[in-house]
Amino acid sequence: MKKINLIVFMCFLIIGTTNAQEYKKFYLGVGGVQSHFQDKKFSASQFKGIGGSFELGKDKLKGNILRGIKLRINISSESPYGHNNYSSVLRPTLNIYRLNKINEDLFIGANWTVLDFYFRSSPNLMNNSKYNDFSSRLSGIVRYDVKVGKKKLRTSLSISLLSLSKMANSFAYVVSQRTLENGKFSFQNNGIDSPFGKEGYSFKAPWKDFNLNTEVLYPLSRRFDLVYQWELRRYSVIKNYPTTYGNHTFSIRFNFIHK
Amino acid sequence: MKYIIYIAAILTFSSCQKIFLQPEPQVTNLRIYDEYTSLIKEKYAMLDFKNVDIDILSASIRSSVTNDLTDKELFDKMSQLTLSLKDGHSNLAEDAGALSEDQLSTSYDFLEGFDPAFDIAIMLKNYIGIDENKNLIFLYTEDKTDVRMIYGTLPQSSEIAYVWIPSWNNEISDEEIEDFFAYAKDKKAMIVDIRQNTGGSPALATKFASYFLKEKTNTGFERFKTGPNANDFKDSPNVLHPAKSKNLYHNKVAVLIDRYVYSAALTFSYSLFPLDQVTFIGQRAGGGSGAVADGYLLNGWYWSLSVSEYFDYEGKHLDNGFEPDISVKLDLENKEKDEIIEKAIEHLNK
Repeated sequence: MKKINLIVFMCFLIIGTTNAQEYKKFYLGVGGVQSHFQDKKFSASQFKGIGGSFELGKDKLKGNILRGIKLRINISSESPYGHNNYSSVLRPTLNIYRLNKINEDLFIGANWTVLDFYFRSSPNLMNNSKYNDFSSRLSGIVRYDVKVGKKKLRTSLSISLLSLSKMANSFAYVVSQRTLENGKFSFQNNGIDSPFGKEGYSFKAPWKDFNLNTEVLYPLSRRFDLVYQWELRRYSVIKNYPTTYGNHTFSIRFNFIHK
Repeated sequence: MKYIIYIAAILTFSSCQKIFLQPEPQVTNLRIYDEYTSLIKEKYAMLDFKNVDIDILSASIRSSVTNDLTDKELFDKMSQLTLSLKDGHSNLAEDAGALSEDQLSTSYDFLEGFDPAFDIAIMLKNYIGIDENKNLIFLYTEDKTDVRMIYGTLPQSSEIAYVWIPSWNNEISDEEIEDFFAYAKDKKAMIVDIRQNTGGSPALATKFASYFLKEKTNTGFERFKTGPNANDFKDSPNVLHPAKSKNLYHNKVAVLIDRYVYSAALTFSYSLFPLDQVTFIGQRAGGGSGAVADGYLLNGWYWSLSVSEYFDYEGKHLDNGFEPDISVKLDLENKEKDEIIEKAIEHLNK
């Protein structure tokens, strides 16, 4: 019965209904980010900071299908409550998504975060000064448009389903836990801390690498949109010591092509 | 109504960050002390080897830790934990870059009752002074304040290549390593002087060591702490591959060591242990076999701890150093010669 339900649901996604108002958008977004970070393996301190956010993307709705690609780069500087040692964060992410239009206001589909690089630098530390985390993930995404006056407020929510990632650190050292668990640590293995070295990558279920994204977009005009985005990731959990980070991002998008 | 519920749900999700990010504890002396104790207990990899019962030690000090202690008083109590580890990699400091005397920091005595086995004045006068020896190549740091590597031949022997690497902390490029081994290739023997080398990049030390290998070589294994419990360890066997170079060096080698041979300098040393052509000459090496992790306590104090331990290819624990094959004492009164270098030349000429 469950299988039948799933098939029906998939057909529903693929076929959908159509009454499309087709559009194509290329946009450039600039804004600010408030970021948070906590790695319980190394400290109970919570790092908080602010920075900038830049994005470049494309959305295209044709027929029932909404496709898009989005590159976002967040940069921030964080420090904890108890002291002044700071960390700098650089985080480029590239997302590709495809949603099916279910009705005039509802879209459901999948988002592939092709790459999510999280580079964290703490210049006052030594071996732990670099925290470089690489991942790629598949998420389910739902978008719902709400009419506010004459305009439509676009809201979306995505939740990770599966991720492939290489953690920046293990319980105690600056290589991934998987590398150590597999007994593969070696100073001659340059791939250990490189995103292109296969050593250390592993697939993770959402309860082990949980990522949640929400986005609210309000069109100010044909050219400009106001966007709020929130993201949370809880991952690299070793014996109840997780790493967690979250970002609130506010940005203005300029649609340099909107037709 | 359903729109409102949906938007409310989105906004609710946005604030659940606070649920996932665990609240930051208040910064008090006791919390700082407890945090540091937990870090040592859960992360430090050699409590058994160092014979430290952290629970008993910690409890005995904790009873005197109160929230009205000054920073200095608290630091003195916490540094008792650090010093009990007798580990140059495990430090506590008020500030990450604390080197000045007014900063609170623990210090490690490399000599620990030993006499020095290196005298730069003797070296400059008799072996590596720019004016005294024209057969040397000096590689400096970018700002010219430090020497990265000196190589060539010594006045005492033109057939033996000599190289001094005072630290593995300064980058030596692949090309520079290749140039050195190309130069040394035709020499009948080599002295590798790593005295005063307290470490730096183990990857660089390993790269340099790989030029002495003939084949894939088992050099031991590193045991990493992989969880908070006392038995959470995993071993990584260490099998080194020879460098991909035409200039591998397989003639006799003397490695000169002293108490300051520590950390990555130990990595270089244990990488050569299995090689028959290599002889260690000088003073007992310092040790420092563990990989190091570091971070901040709640109040910003800097900590570092060894989170692994190393066993050589014969299963010997190396954190407290190792004895040389030929033990030589430096006569600091005799400014005309370095007995350790002289012994190495004598050994290599046999």
